[in-house]
Amino acid sequence: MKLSNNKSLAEYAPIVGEDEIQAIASLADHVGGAKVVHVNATRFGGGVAEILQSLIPLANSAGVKAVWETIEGDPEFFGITKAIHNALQGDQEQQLSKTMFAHYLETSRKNAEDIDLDGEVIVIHDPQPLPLISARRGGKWVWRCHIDTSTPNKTVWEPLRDFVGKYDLSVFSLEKYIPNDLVKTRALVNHPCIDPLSTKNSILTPDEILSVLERFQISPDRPLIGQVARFDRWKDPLGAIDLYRKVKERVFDIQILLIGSFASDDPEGLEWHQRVVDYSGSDPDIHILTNRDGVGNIEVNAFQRSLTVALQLSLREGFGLTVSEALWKGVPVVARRAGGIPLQVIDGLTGFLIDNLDDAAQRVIQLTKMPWLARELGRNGAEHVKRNFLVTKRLKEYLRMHIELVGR
Amino acid sequence: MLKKTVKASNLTSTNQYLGWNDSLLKATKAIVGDPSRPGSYRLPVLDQDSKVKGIILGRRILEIFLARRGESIRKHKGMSSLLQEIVGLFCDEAHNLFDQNTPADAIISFMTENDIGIIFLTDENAVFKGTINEMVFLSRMRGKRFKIRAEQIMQAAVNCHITTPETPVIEAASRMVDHRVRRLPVISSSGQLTGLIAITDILRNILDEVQKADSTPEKLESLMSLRTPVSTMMRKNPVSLDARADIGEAADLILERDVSTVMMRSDGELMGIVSRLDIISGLTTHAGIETLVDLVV
Repeated sequence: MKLSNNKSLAEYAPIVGEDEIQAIASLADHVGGAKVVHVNATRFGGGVAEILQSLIPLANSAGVKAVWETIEGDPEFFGITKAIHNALQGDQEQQLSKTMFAHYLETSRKNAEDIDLDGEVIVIHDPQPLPLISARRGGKWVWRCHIDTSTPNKTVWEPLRDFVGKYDLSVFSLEKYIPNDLVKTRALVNHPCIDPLSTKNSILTPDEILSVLERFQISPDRPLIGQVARFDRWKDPLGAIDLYRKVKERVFDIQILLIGSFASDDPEGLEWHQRVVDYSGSDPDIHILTNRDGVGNIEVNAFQRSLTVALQLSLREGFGLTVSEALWKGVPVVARRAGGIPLQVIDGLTGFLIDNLDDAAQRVIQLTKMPWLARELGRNGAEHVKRNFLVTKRLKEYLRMHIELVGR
Repeated sequence: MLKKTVKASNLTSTNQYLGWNDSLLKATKAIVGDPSRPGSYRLPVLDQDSKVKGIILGRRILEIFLARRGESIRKHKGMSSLLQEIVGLFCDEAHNLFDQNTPADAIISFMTENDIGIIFLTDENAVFKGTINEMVFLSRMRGKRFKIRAEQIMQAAVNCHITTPETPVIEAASRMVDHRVRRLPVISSSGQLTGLIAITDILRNILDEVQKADSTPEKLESLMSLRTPVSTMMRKNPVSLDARADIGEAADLILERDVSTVMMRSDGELMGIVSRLDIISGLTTHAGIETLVDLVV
């Protein structure tokens, strides 16, 4: 099974084992070449785009006819959907006015006229395209929610829940994210996973890594801590800088790298990026880089591999897949207990879970001064990801979802 | 400093499993159990080389009988054929796999941080080596007291989903599925705790009906056992304790009576529920993870 320009399932066999490929083939036999349309808000930036970049070629490799559509909208629309995103993740202050809601619905209606929604299965990702269900002409519809909706702002959630109720199936990243009031609907869980053969996670040579560090003027022979995350309040990038400053008092040559990407559906990103830049002052050891600086997947790969310690200081998190990315590369992670992070960071085994920045700083200092410990935790982390969070598992969950909807 | 005195392989509690190609009907029997072999609510699903390929829960099987899962196959082939489909099509992926040499304290940390009551162990070749569940820790709590009252760790009644004796089983079952719980206390019209109904109770009755000699494909499409009231299959006089009792007493009851939950009462009224996982998580929260680690060292 091979596509002309993408990896085939067989290429994963050396990593996951031939038995896993056989299990996927067994499930794919029951799906029978169904056409599946995925719809999200952006082809670049954020976890969903990254998931689809891996999943769609793999699904096609397994015999599913998967296609990818993206919606369009003006800055006002994406401001509204970011507000919805924040509200669903628990921002109780956020309001959704009638005007905002009307614009949200009108943009959805226009998108329904332009994009291909004909398929046996239509998968709508996250809240941005949620109202597209109103344009349903046929097929089985799935709402795939990638964010933590366990304690949503009810005034925003309730009108959206009416749309969710029209879907044939809802899928969440963790069971605890399924909203308590979502009853009488079918809900599945699909854990996020990383693709070990993607450009972001595949093996790099030392020269390739050094080349990237030199290009961005990061010293390769000094300890480096870093966080890969969007610039927004939930990822606590200012907290990461505070942490760095605490560590700097004991580890004088420490550097910090904050990497984020500007996604077309994230209007707050620019504002938060500027806040982080301002907060960093003129410290030459604080490196703040984005896709606009030329940071792509290969660069992120190189940066993650060069970290002494990876940080994930998220206050709210969906799953936190950048944690698995770092662990896969043998880098220990110091993180807050948010979202799916505790499934990946096992305290004392693959990294450390912390409750405050002082504890985080202590752990970072410990790992910086004890490289043997960092190596052991990193090695454990890579094994943990290999056993539990590789993309072939997600493909099997995805195929089971299709069996549920169109299986024979 | 990390403790590495006990390995996960020293804590395995069971080696029960299902095969990828085993039928849903066989899975139902394995979960319900019989006089010769106890049932298990959660089972790993292994391939022919004994590698873990998933996990099947009692709740998933119940979803199939409620037509909340397997709908497409059921529409095309009928319930009778659906029950002969392989469990591999319906299990969940396992994301709780650990090497058998993992230190015990890391396993405990993972279970309590994530409220996960089951871990599967594998060797370096990914071959299944056993399961760790809450019973590993509860069995080591026998006879001990911890100065932690059950009411400090219980799920309070106000937060519990309940049902009544008159409610049709299908409604009670749907409530369990909707709210992802394994059991419902049964409360009478006068507010008294009169029983307990669990997913395994419902599955046991369904299995009896399915396996009857006169069971036809048509009868399978509309199971009578789902239409009877809860009172016909609930456990009367569920295992219960005063809410002020020590959690060690709750653990002892769970071990002696081979149940997964203890009801917390006061004057006949339900005050809350304590499950096996509540005891483990509560002990960690109130006494520290070291207390749990010390139990198994």
